[in-house]
Amino acid sequence: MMNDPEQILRTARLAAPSAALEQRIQSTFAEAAQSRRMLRPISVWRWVGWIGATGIAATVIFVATRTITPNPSAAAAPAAIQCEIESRGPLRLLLLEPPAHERTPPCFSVSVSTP
Amino acid sequence: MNSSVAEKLRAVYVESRQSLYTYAVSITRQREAAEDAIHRAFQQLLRHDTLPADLRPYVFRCVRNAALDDLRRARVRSDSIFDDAFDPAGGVARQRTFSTAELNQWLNRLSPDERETIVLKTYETFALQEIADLRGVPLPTVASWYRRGLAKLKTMMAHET
Repeated sequence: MMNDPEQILRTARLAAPSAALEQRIQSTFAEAAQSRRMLRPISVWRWVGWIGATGIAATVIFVATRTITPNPSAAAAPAAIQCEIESRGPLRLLLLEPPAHERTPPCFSVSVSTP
Repeated sequence: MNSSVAEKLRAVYVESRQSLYTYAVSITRQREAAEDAIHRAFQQLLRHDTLPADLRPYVFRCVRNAALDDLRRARVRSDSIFDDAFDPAGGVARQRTFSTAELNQWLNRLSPDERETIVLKTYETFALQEIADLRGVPLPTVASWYRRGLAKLKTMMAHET
């Protein structure tokens, strides 16, 4: 007697999958292909969105950085102007101890003679 | 999921549908459940963006997991991996012919691990090392399941003749 169980098992014909399974699998593949076609434009729009968002973020950061960083020329403290009052007369008094009703500083117009 | 994934899976399905079905039935012992398991496994696989290089064992593993999920739902199971319409031309012995019902009965007497290993080795031509990889167990364990299963089958066949 042939007593090799493997050989005996191999000689038996196996049950085959039904046609219904074939159809189900085929429709699953078809659905997957369909969804892939639909996903492609979404993917493109996602890339466009990413690039746009990155651009906006970069602009915001650039603008914010510019606002926060002081302008070197503007940020420099104005040099103190030292004035020496040479006058000994009433003008000196008017400048140093102006009357209460004339506390507003006088307006000066400076003209510098150029050689 | 990209198109190459679908193409690879389709190729594995076309090449191995009979093997996958036999394997799934050997686990679920119910043909309808086996078909559900294969269908579910491919639905899951088609959601992948990438697949492992050695795809065939991976697909078998996915079908196995789906079949085991189904097996957890308790139901009466007695379907055979063999073609019922083929009776009585089951395994051919020198003196007598085994029916597919007998072969199925003997297979069902094996432990699930022994049955699964013998089905994979006999019908799906997996090497023992591949079965060990597929099951995630050491090679000696699979070899032991295989030897024990064959010995049991041999004993059962000898008693019937």
